This record gives sequence, C-alpha cells and structure tokens, in this order.
Amino acid sequence: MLEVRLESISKKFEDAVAVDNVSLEIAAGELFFLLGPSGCGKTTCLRVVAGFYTPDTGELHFGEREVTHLAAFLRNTGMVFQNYALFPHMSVERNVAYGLKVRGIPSDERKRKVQRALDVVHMTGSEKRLPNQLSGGQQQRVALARALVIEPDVLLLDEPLSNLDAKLRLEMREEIRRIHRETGVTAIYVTHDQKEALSIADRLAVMRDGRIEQVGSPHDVYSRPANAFVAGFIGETNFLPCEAIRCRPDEIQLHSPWGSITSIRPHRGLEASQEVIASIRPEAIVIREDRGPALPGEISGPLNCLRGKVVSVTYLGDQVQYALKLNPDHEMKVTILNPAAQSPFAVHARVAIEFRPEDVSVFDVMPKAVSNSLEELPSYMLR
Amino acid sequence: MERGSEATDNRDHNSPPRILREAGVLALDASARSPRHIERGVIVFLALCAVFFGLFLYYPLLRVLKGSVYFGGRTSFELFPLLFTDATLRECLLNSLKISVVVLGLSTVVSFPLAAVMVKLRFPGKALLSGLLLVPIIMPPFVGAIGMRQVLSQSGPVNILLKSLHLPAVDWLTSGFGCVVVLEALHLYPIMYLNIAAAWANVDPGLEEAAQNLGGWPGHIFRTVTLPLLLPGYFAGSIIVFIWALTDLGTPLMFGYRKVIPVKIFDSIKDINENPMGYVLVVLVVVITVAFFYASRRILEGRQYAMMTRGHVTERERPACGVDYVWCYVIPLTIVLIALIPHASVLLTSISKGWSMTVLPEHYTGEHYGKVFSHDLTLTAIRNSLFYSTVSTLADIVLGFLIAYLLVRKSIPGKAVLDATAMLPLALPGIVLAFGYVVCYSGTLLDPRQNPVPLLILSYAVRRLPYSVRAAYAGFQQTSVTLEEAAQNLGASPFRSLMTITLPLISANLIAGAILSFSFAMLEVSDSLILAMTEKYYPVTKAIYVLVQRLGDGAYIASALGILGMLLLTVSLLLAGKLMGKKMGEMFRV
Repeated sequence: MLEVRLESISKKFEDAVAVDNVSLEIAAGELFFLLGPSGCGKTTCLRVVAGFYTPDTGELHFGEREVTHLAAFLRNTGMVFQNYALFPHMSVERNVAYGLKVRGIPSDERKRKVQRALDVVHMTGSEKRLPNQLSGGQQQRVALARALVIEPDVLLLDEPLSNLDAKLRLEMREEIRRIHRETGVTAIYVTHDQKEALSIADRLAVMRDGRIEQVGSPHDVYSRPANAFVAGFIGETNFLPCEAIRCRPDEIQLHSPWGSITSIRPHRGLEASQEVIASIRPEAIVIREDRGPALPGEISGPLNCLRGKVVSVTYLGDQVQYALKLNPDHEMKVTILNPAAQSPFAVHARVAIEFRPEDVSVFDVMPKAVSNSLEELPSYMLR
Repeated sequence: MERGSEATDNRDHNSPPRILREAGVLALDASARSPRHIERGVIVFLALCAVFFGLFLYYPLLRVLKGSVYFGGRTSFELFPLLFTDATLRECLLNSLKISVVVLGLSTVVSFPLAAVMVKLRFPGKALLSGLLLVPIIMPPFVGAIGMRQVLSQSGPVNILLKSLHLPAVDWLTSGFGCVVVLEALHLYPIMYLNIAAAWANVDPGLEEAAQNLGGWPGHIFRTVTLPLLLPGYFAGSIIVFIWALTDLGTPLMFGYRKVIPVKIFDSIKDINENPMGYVLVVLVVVITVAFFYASRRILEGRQYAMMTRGHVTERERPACGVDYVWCYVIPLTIVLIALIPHASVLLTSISKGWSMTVLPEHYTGEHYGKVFSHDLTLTAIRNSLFYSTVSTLADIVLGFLIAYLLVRKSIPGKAVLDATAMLPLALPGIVLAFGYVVCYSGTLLDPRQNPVPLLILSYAVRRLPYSVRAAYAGFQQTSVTLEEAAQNLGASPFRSLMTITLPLISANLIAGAILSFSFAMLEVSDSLILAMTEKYYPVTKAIYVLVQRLGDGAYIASALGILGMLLLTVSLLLAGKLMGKKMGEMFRV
C-alpha cells in the first residue's frame, strides 16, 4: 500500500497532447477513479503510472520513491488490461503464477499464493483451464487474480468492465469493490462510465482533453460540479444560457428568455452582465399543471418557475421522464422519481416547472477550444 | 495519408492515439526517456545486421556491378553493347526471354481456371487436391528433368508407345526449348496459382452479387469486377514466375540447352579473371529483375484495394453440383497428373533395372537406393546437405525472429531499409548471389575453391531469410502487444516477456518458416552448382548433377537421390501448409 503522486505530468504523442500538466495525489489504500470521455488522456495517465509511457515532463512518485523513469517491469504495479491480456497459451494457474515465477518465489509458496488469489476472485476449480475456455466474466476474475497475486503496490484497472455485458458489469463492479476492501490496495481505475465511478469510487478525477477538470468524492463532483463540462458529463442535466444580472457571493440573479432564475449556490467569481450557463438536474425539478400566466410575485418567490409544453413522456415504473419544450424553443428534461402518487401528464399538456435556487448551478460559458471533444453538449455552450 | 485521417478521428478509441501505437512509435518505451530512445541491444543487433547484409548481400552485388565496368585497369562500358551485337549473346538473351515469356503464359493459362475452381467450389477431396497442387513447387525442375529425359529419349516409353501404334518416333529432346519451358511451367504454376487464389479469396463475394444485382452477366462481372481486383495478386505472382524462369540454371543444364543466360554465367565463372563478360551478364540479370519489380510496383500502385465490407453475408464457396463436378475434378487432376509425370518417371527410373525399349520398366529393384546409402558421393552429399540446410535454417529462424520483432514492435531508424533488405533476396536470383560470392571471396579466407561450406551456408541463409521474416512478421502482427505489456507489468523484463509470452505464441509461424527455408535449402540448385567446387563438399543437388553426367547407373542413382529429396520436401511442405493455413500464399508474394 503506497500513495501515488503525479506531479505536473505531461505527455505528447507526435503533435497531440495526450496528458497536459496533470497533478494528482492518490492516498494509500484509496480506490481512485480517472473518469472522462474517450480520448481525454485517462488511459495515458494510467500507462504512465504503469511505466509503459515515460512522461515528457513531470514526476511520478510511489510513496517516497521517485519512479518516473523506472522500467515498467520493476514497478510492482498490477494491471488489469481492458482486453485482460491473459496469456492464451497458459492455463489459469500458470497465468496467475507468472508474476510470482518471475519474482523467483519457490513453487510451494507460489502454489499457495495462487490458490489464495483464485479464492479471492472465486475462481478455484478452474486452475487447469485455458483462457479461451472461460467466459468474459471469468477471464476478468483471472486477470484480477493475476494482478493481485504479486501483492502490487498499486493496482491499475484499465476499463476492466467494458467488455462485459450489462448484468455482469454490475456484478463485477461490486466484486471489485469487495476485493479492494479485502486487500486494501491502492487502486487506480480508468473508466468512461460515470455510474461505475459514482458507485464505488472513494474519490475520482474528471478529465477532459488531457487536463483534470475536478477531483473530489462522488458526492462532491455530482452535487457541486466545478464547471459545465463536469455537470454535463457526470449525470444528466439541463443547461440554460442566461445573462447574470446581479452577482453576490451567495446569490446570483439570472435573466433568460424563459424567465428570471435565481441561484443561491457558491460560484466562481462570476460578474454581472456576463453570459453564463445555468445547470439544473432533471430530478431537481417538479412539474405541475400550468395555472395560467405568472402572477407578479411568482418570479421573486422562493422557487424558480418556468413554463412549457410536454413533448414526450417515458414511463419507467420507478420514475417518469418528461421532455418539455420551453417557449422560446428549448428542450428541458424532467425526471419525477416515485411517480406513483401522481398520474403522468399527457403529451401536449401545458405545464409549469419549479426548482429551488439551491439546485441551480451557474457556470462560465465554455471556451470553444477545449469543448470540441464534447458533442453531447449543445452548441450554444460553445462560444 | 491514412494515418492523418485516423489520427484526427481517434476520439472513438482510447487515448492515446491508437494509431501511434500501431505504428510502433510508442510501443513499450518503458525504460526510455524519449519515445525515440533505442536500447543498446537493438543498436548492437542493427550493427550486426548491417555488417551481415553488407558483406553477404550488398558487397557481392556492388562488386559485380563494378566488375562489369572496370577491367584491365580502366572504367569502360564497352562490354554492354556486345550483349546485343554479339550473335551468340543475343541469341542467349532472346532464348532466356522467350523461356520466361512462354513459362509465364503457360502458368497463367493453368492458374486462372484452377484458382476459380478451388476458390468458388466446395467438393469432396478438395483439401487433398489443394495440397497436391502445391507439390510441384518444391520439386526442382532440375530433378524432373532426369525423368523427362528418360521418358522422351529415343528408346523411351513415349517413342516405344508411338512405335507400337505404328506412328513415327519423334526426337523430342532435340527441342531443348520445349522441354525446359514445359518443366519450368509445371514447376512454377503453383506460385501463380497461390497468388491468384489468395487474391480471389479476398474478394468479397458480396461485390459479385452486387454486380449481378445490377444486371451484369457472369463474363462481364468477371472482367469488370473480379479481374481488376485479382490483378495485384496476378502481378505479384507473375514477377516471381518470370524472374525464376529467367534465372533457372538447373533445367537448361540438364537438357543441354546451353544457349541461355544462366548457363553462360555458370560457364563464365571458370575464366572470370580473364573474361569479364560474366559480370556483364549478371548485371543484365539484375537490371532485368529490378526493371520488372519496379514496373510491377508502378502498376500495382493505387491498386491495392482494401475490402470495405464487414463480415461476409454469403459464403464464398458453394457446393459443387452437376457439371461443376467435371470442372472441379478434371481441371486440378489433369494439372496435377501432368505436373507429376516427370517426377513419376524419376520414381520409376529410381526403382527400375535397365529401363529401355519398353513403355514401363520390366524389372524392378531397390538396389539404386541401396547404392545411395553406400556410395561415397551420395552419402557425403546427403550429410552435407542436411548439415548446410540445418545451420542455415537455424540462422534464418534467429535472424527472422529478431528482424520481424524490430519491424513490428520497435521504432528504429531505417526501418524501411531493414524491411527492404530482408525481403530483397526473394527477388534476387540465386545465380547472381552465388556469382557475386565467388568473385568477392576467391582468394580470401572464405574461398569456395578451398572450402565452400561457409559460403554455401551463408547463401542458403540469405536466400531463404525472407520466408522466416515473413512468417515471424505475421506472427507478431497477430499477437497483441498488450500480452508483452502484461508480462512486464507482472515483473518480467522485456527480454523475458518476449521469450516466455510472444515466442511460444508465434512458434507455429516460426516453424512453418523454418520448414520452408529448410526444404528450399535442401534442393537449392544454382548456389550449389556454382559454389560447391570440390566433391568433398557437394550437396545433394550438385551430386545429382554430377551423377547424371556419368554413364552407366549414374542416372538411376541420381533418380533415387532425387526421390529421397522430394519425399522429404513433400512432407515438409504439407507440414508447413498445416501450420500456416491460408497464409501459405503470402510466403510467395513480393
């Protein structure tokens, strides 16, 4: 168990910057996630830690030791590869024993350790089978056992669940959490799946275009995203382009084509008459029948209130998802959890939506240069 | 150009840009401070490669070039016009070109229908037939010639048969040209066939269906859709067939058809110090070879079509039915039977007792085989050949493995040069290399007149290196680099990862390459005839050549020796085919 420190790591491939001045501190025993869209540099970061890439600049520390230029095979990191990289010509047993053999562990001790590792991943009984005789989930477990058996200082997981089907993914996610808890190893887990990260991470870093956007616990990152990118990438959200009217440290008044909006969340140095983006999570919104035009006092009341029309209704049992159309034309997603009490609104129904000022996050508009990797964000967010 | 488009589009993949890793630029730069850092071991190996290829590939070539324009203490190009003004030389040149053209034509005519049947139809016994079709490639035409001489001689079975039908006997062997051409075509068609069939198997049947759907009739579809897609494969095969036919030394020698370029070169070696014409002839061969390869590259440029469809919906093969059966058995069987006649008669000769004046031998005996194993000349020759081939094959495995490793997995300077150099011997006629060795190393420690063993082994190794490089290259490409990374991650050094993970995984490829190298080395003709100058060092091929010249039972013992060699080769080729599977065709491509 070691802490891992990345200090200003950068890595360029020919002309493409894969990792750009990344600094991270991963505590000993932590299950740390690197999360981001494809091409954000998270795998490169992981491979820098594993030693497959040498950073152009910056330093890497395992505990007290600087390992920036240490060869990969001397680092004692156990890695689970995306395609598992099980040696196809070796049995499960020999695969798991490989790292021990390389370390010159005597054969009886080797056997014992292999057994224990297979036991941890619930794969005893398959010792003699070849990798191609195993299912995807089993291969995953063997890959995990092989990485764990060498008692690595750091466990590295490169999208370990991406080749599994949805149900198995859920199951293995819990397995990885359990195994991490049992072994207490420092682990770095790379994924683009935010659910994986939110559900089992101790802490996570959201990456984009080679840079770290935010580091924090799942709860921090979800409820207090640092910027519009993080808000859009982690969980679903609605973005409303607005203009800031009045800015105080704890309250912002916004003007938008759909009405006035108040936020009482801390923000990062926004100024009046600046163009901004308001972000409201779909589940923070309540929906009610539209009782006619807004009353004069309604706007400045405790709730923000906008009006629109139902475009589509998706009933999922535990929740109902509405797509609304505001006037002027702007789509808004609303999720009603536990909808049993309320019969769903019909398509074309005119509705009012309400959300609390503490549920409105306000961000700077993103500069275009860094946001072109995000097709999922609406174009108005790009300047 | 493809690189650029993919690099901008790599969002779909994981970071880092995958294309960079595939290009080998970044793979495993574990201990490196910069991506271009190269380990000391690699530098040492590259230096050794440079020395090896420099001494035994490039220097002989350059020496020959120099010899053709520098003689008698001055530089002069006056010998080259002689090629066209001197009546004998002109005749030789024309004869050689005629042989090549006719051989190319014959093998084309044979190969297309053959490929069509074998690619398109499925029928019982197909696997066996496709194996048999490849057999002639390893049967040296030079050995077949012994049988042919027997069959077509004045009192041979063909003439006896004609006489018994009251037809006039024909003196077949006076037309050396015909015999040479037929034997070489029968020897070389598998190369053409393999190339066409591989290209054809790569044509998405969906394309032909699309053409049908658009209203094309079969002949039209073949001409407008299939044939253009086959041309790259056809050209690749043509080049080899043409060059091999042009430079084959053994067959014309056997038929006494001496007015061809290779024989002239062979003869010129004896007085090479007085008469520089040999240099000029070798340079001519090199020029023709280079010109052909260059031309084919130009023709093929922009013609390498990648199939864009994913997954074939329809099967390429259809079960044979009705009239198909006629084609699918008649075509391949006829070809196999004709191709094997010379070799069958070698077999008959080897077990007959004084085969003359009868259609089939009247008495059979095993004594020729007995003599092979008791006769000094043959016994030494077998031992020599086994030794030379084994050593050269071992060298090829090691070199091929390491070169392929560098080419696939490492970012090294001069990669393209290494690649081209390792493949060059495939295009280089054996006669050129052997000639170069003689002129370079006579009077040195490696003088073939003293002891040809080192040069024989070297020439075998250099000539067959492309097969082992190709085979290993394919293996490395099929084996994911993440396996080596995983091994390193678990603590194995890069060398150990290579040896414990990748080496076992590509061993089938290495063995297949080794088998090919070995079998070709065993029956290498031109190098052996030229370099092995004393009886003590004769390999099998030279022993056969010498035996055939001898009166009495020489031809019978030579046949027996030839049969043993062919037996070994057949088994080897079948083994290699099993190991390489469908990749076999790629071994004979340029």
